[in-house]
Amino acid sequence: MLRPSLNVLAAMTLVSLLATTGRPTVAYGQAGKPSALPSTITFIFPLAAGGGGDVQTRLVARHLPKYLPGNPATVVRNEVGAGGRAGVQYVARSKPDGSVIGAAYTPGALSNQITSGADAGYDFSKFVLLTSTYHQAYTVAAGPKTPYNKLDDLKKAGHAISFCVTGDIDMAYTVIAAKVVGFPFRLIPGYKGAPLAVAGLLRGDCEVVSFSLEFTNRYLKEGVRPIAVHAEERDKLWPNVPTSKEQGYPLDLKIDVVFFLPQGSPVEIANVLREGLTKLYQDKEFLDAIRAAGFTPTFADTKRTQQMGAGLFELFSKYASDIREAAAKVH
Amino acid sequence: MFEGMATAILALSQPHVIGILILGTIIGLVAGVLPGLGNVQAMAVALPFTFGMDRITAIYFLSSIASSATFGGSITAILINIPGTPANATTVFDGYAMTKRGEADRALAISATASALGGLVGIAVLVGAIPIAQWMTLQFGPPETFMLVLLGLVTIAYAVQGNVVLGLVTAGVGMLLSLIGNSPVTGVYRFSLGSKQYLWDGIQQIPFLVGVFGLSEAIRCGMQGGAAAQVGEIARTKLSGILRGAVETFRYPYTFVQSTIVGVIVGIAPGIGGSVSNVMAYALAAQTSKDPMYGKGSAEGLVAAESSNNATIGGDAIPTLAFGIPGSAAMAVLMGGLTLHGVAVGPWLMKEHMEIVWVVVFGLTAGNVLSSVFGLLVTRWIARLPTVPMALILPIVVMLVFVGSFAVRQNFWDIGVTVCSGVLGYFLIRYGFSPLPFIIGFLLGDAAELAFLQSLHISQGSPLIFLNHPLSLGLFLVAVAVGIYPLLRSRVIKEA
Repeated sequence: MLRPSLNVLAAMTLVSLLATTGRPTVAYGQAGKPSALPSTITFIFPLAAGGGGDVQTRLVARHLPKYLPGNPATVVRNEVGAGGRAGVQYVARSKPDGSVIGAAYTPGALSNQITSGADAGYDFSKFVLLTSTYHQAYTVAAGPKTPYNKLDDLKKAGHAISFCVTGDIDMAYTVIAAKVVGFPFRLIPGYKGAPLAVAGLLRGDCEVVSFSLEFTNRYLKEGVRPIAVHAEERDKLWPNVPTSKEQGYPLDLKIDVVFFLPQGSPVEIANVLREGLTKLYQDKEFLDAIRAAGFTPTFADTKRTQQMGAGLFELFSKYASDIREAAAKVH
Repeated sequence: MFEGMATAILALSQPHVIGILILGTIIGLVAGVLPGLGNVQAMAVALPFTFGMDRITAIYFLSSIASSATFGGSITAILINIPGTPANATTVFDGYAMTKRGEADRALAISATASALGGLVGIAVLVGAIPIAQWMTLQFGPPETFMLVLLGLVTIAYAVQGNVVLGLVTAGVGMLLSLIGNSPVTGVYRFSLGSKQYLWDGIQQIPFLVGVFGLSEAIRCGMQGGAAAQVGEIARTKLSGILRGAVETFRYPYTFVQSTIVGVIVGIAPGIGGSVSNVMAYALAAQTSKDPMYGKGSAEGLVAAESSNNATIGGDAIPTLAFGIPGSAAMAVLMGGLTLHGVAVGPWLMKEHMEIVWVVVFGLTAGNVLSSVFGLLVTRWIARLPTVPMALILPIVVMLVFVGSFAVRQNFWDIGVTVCSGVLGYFLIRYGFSPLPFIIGFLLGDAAELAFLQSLHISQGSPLIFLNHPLSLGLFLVAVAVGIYPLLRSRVIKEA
């Protein structure tokens, strides 16, 4: 706990910040001696403050400076708009000097690009990928008044299964799962956030939702019934829920938050940041903070992040026409 | 439940927590006063400063910021015709008119009192709703939300003054402007002129509102000269006058109750917030008010505007704490703050962490009450601002307009929107149009579109969905009753 005097000091700084900028930006750490890195690094997160990815980014921004030369100040900025495209575009347009780090859900950024084409305003393959975190399997969960217990039940329903969807990721993964499993579906779009979509599921707006495992797990007591995990192996949180693969459908659909730099960023800067992020994910204090926030800490190095990104790009490219068709039906 | 309350109260007895509450309130007030900033921005900036605090102190800090900015936004609305936040959009109509009459002190006192009382009612509903909060949250699906917004839209009929047809056209133009950009349901771009830099994401509320109100008034005053208020009248400001203004709020119990009910219900409904409740309550009160000065400097109008938007904050907290559904952008940041401090928000919060729920309740209460108390304390001094000659104050007002417009997203195109909407607002007023229907159309248009299209997606195109749900049907009947009431009343008056 801070002593009152420190609180006052913090507040004075905060009032000064408020007076100089209106953006929801935050500063972490102190500027130190000169280094290859700029004195201030801004993390751009393309969605609103408060969600899981935003919290993860803020925790990284808070703890990362101690592993970077010069102990730079870090700032988190929510560059919201156009379903997440605006933030990723902002990174694409930024100076490649290490002053801006993008943080985004990889499937969201990629599906946006694939469904929007040139309208997306960026080419994700051109970004310099650093590392990734917040890896989780996607799931399929049914509402309490539905009879569905496994993926085959969706096939046998005899009608198009309704899904409450929030945006690009759950829509794309629903389309892919429906294609692989072979059930007809219809999308009910426009839910502003996964909790609202789950409320819609419980209310009966739709029959099924598809969200990440840790998130869906929060609503089991309310009647949300998981019927499949799109992963290679069962998750320890849900030992009794069979994977899609076990049910005969080899789906491996995950989300993650990737950290990336604008195209043309110097390798030296990228490597310094990669090294810092790698050390950060071995820091007990940081990992405890992630756990305290209710998340399971995960980490993938650059090579693994690139592999996962390439895999996702291939997956989305394969189903691009199906995703576009589903989006067009919504229109 | 009571153990949790005891923990929250115990924390309140610590001096540093009280200090943090005062600090949070001041920060919220400052953010509210500065056009372009609001509780969302202030809370987001404040988040990292809570890392060094213990969990309960941090939540007190964030909650007090959340509930104090709305009153702060009324100060600039009243004094210089710039709504500090979108939730103060209709506060300008009566607040600034009173300022021009030399009654800024009275207006500020009414606003402070109505804000505090409205906020307290909202929080009282939150506390009362704790046992049924989850049930309440699930009642508001897309059809119910659409009917609630429709109720707001039918109030345009009351907001139109003079030429009804032209007034409705104005409202329609406001609605069309709200539909520009990326559709919230389909992702299709409408009226964005192929823009990949600005219009694809629609017209932002703050740059638009500060233009329509602040810049248009600056243009008018610049042409007219003088001062916004008469020096002599403001110079008579006395504490007794401020107290009389505060007491005046109690003269409109019906308007107050009606407006706080609107505020709370809008708060519970997901996806719509203080800006919607503010225009709905204001326009509804216009129908019931017998004050001929309504919209031109009426205390009743100010009570409606400022009690509703503050009552919404308590309503917003219900889905947030009951189900993890952020009732507003500020509540989303509060949820993020809770998560960062190891309290994952979801349906279990009210079962497993009642102490956190009570901390939020007390934090919101403290921010709400303290901000109004601070407002009353400084009224004597800030009420003199409008007596400053226009030549001195206009550059500051124009600077505030543009800084406020730019500060939201640091996008120069927002300044362009402010200029355009300022010129539009100036000509609207000059040629005798009330900006109210225009603003109602703009603030409610996109919420109506989202809820309407979602409902039709659920029902696979059948409009009967709006009548099959009991709450939706009830709201529809209320909207019909509210819509035909002025027609019936005018017929009765004619026959008499």
